[in-house]
Amino acid sequence: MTFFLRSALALGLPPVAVTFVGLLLAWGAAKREQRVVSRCLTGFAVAIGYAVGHRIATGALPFMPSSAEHWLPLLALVAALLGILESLPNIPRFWRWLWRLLFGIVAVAVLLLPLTSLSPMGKAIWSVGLGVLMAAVWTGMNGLAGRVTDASLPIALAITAAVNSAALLIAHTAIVSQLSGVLAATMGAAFVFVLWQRRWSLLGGAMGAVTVLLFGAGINGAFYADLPIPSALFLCLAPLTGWLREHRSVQSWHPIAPIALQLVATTLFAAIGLGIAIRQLGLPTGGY
Amino acid sequence: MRRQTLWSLLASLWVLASLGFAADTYEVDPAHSFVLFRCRNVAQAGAVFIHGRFTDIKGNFVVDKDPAKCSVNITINADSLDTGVPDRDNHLKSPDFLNVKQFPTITFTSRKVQAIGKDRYRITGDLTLHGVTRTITVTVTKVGEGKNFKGAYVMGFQTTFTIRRSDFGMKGLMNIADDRVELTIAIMGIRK
Repeated sequence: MTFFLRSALALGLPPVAVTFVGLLLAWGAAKREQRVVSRCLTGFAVAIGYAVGHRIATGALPFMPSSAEHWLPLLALVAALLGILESLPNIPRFWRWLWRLLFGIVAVAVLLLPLTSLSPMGKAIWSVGLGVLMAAVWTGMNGLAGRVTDASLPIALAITAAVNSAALLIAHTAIVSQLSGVLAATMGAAFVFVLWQRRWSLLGGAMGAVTVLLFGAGINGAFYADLPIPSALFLCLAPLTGWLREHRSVQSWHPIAPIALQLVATTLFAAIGLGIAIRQLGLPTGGY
Repeated sequence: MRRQTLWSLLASLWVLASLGFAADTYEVDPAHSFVLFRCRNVAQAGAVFIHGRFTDIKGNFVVDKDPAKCSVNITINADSLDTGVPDRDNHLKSPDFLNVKQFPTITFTSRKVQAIGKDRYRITGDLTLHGVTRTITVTVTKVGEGKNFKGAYVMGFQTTFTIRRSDFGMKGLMNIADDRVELTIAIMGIRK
């Protein structure tokens, strides 16, 4: 137990600290009415916080990645950069959709490129399919982040990433599991920050970074390790269940009810993903 | 007529001589070749080594009296790793270590062979593991040679050397498996 606790703290605390400092900088910019800068810094807080954890988990942060998992920090950074465009006023919705779509397809293609067990046509089909899905999830999450400004969104994302981490461990990849754990840690930092600064939004590049990291971990687990694809899909889509709280009937309930509904729905959806992994692969024997 | 016979004799001698000194190519016999590894299990307080092997090995080697003309090429199927525990095998094949779906083969190609004693050679070559190629030098011992029970001429070599997995891009989980991995390669080839 001490072994796992020590590993979790060594891996989790630095990204938490970096993300929190980044969010503080974003908050400082917002205080000075620099909204665009503030949103960009929020995206970079998540991407750089993750990169620090990635470096600790894998022992490397290559500028030119040679294996699929090493693309994740770079993709998160690109998503954060796209957040700059997202933050600019008067950008037509069509263009936002287009670059999210292109980014999604390119991101999945880059992650699948080194795979030797898929034909080029197979890679192209998966890239387009998952790329469209990633763009849709980013858009959905962004919409949710624009409406939900309480701490329920980061904690729902932290829960999803933590459950994803458990599923990846079952799928025989401790490192990608740790990378999902790092994402959970950065979202944990965002949760604490939003508890302190109510009505803080993760809109823009932060949502892009979270989406690509969630999908990236799922793709690494499903295509390079043993994570069942349905399991990965449930885990990637789980945060979207937050939209249930926006239903008119739920809005009329007790103020805490939408938050509870969001957390229960997200946890259940993610748990189904984990359940599929356990059913197909069994629980890890451990101790080998 | 006599001149023609002399030329024929000389030509035959040349052919025989060249056959006698020609480099022999041996095809690696997978049934009698072994790639074994051991790595200290840090998660178990370093109290034990994990032992494993790769069961699918291919390649060939060329043997000549002139060591400069000798060479060796070996290809190992990374997915054929076997430590006797399926969960551990899947973990070692995952992106945490060998990442076999991205890097399906481990190869060694010699660049230089030097004789350093009776039946001992120093081989310098390129080892490609986990997509990273590094030049290594190993000391190889000839185990034996001769006709086997089927009448085929066979020759076997063996070497043991240590690599650092971090040199080959496997830098994670040092708190579970040690950086140093000892490899033993024992190959037997059948002369073509």
